[in-house]
Amino acid sequence: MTTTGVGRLFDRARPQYTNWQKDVVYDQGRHGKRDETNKHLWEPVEERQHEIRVAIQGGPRSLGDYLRQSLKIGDDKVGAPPFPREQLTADEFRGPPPELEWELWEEWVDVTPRLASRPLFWLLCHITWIEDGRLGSNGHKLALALTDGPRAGSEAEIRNFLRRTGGIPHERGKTSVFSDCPLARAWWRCRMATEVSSATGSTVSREDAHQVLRTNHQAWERLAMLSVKRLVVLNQPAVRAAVVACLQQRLQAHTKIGEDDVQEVARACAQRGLRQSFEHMVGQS
Amino acid sequence: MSDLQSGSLPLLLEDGSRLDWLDATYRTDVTVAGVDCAIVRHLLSGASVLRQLIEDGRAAWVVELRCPKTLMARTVTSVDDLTTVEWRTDDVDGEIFLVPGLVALEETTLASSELSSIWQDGAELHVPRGWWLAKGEAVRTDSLMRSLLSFERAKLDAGQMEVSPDRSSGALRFTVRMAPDVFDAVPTDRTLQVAALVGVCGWFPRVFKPMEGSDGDEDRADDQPIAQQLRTRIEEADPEVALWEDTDNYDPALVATLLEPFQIISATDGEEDK
Repeated sequence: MTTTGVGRLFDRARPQYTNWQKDVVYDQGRHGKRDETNKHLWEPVEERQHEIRVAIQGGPRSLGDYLRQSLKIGDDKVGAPPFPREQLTADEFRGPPPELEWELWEEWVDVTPRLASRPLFWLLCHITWIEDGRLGSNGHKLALALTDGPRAGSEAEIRNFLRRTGGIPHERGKTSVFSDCPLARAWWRCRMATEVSSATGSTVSREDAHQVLRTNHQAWERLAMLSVKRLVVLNQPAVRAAVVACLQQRLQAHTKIGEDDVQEVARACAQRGLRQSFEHMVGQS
Repeated sequence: MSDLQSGSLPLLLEDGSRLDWLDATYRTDVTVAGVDCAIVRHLLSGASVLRQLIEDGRAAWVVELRCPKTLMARTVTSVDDLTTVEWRTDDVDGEIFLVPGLVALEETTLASSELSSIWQDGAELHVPRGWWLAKGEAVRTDSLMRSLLSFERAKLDAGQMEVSPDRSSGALRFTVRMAPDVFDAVPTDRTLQVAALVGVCGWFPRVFKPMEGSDGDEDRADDQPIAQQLRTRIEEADPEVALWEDTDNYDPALVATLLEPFQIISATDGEEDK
């Protein structure tokens, strides 16, 4: 188990974490309109964003130093779980293919859900992986992986950076870690696929379950993010497994599943789950 | 049996919002024992038919444990009226909910004698396996708060309360002794609950002794496990708030409101289906 070190640094970094994030993203409520009157409020944000971009352009060591300084964790070893590959391309990092997601999961299977649900844990891990050159060996490659995106501009780049390295919980809530950070999302998706497969008695393989969760963003939204936001019956592994099993059948029959499929299946399973405990229904069709 | 046949069956709800039963009630009493265990007491009355199903092994109490933040959910089944639910602290984070109820363990029948008139057509009702026969309300097991303080009725003048630390169980807790009039109102009056919590928070500088490590404050450790949990919770809510070691700036009322931020809890199961 290698996350003990992260746990220790976690407590030290936490007091700084939210304020650091708030200081580097522009928020009209906090920094006012971007006009001359509020210049003293929003201009420092732009300066801090510039600081991050310079740190990224400086390469792995420079970015690591910047993050360590911002979180006040000094030079202590983070103790992140080992990274399974020498280096990822920007595309692999931003959208890990299925086999890579499983590689990551196998390597990080001992991470506890408690830590994995915390964006700061993933940021601390990213510090190690950045410093080790896993996400790019120079500033250009790091920028492609961490900040590049369809929307141009400093604000968008910094938001991409924060999202991809763990999430922006103060803005996007508890779901941020499940949707914004590609490596965290991979961990959670493989974990859910493994649980689903187990709950179906391996009728649905973990790879097939994983495929369902990857094929349609709605499926992931419904099963993971909705469960985080609200106390819904879909949170039960047996109900979740039923949804994935039904969707997998449709995927086999039609090669793709649409938003309507997800909606229909999730609703039907949830309604039945309200009346019956799926775990106690063994023997029923 | 098809689902259509069993699409509508009587359900005994803790909040009494369904009128399927004539005089039956189902209530639960949840005691959180530490940070990784809760005991749910199921209180069923006026439903001898359901009681018989339990005694015959055809129905059992079920408690669903759910931690939305870590997507963790599982169920614990018991035939005893006390269900002990345990969890690993590594599997949970933030709020934990318990959803109690009674489930049919096998396909069975339900006599309609104790049911309201809409079910009184003389026929026995067929209940499929896994069917919920009774359901309790979701209970948030705020384990920190529950392991922090307990309330006690005391002979005090009307409206008064007293807070004192209690180490009798080995772990530090606080007992809030209350005059009967306020004690009776505590379960429903959030203002009273928070007032008690402010009183508890007022004790922190006196009972928590922070120990400095070799690196000074950065490595500080708390002498009580509960102090560490409180520190974590408070710093999560506001990293800049003064804690008990900063006696000049420590504000018990502020800390209490950070611990108990008057959240509106949305615990309505299945709302998405509406």
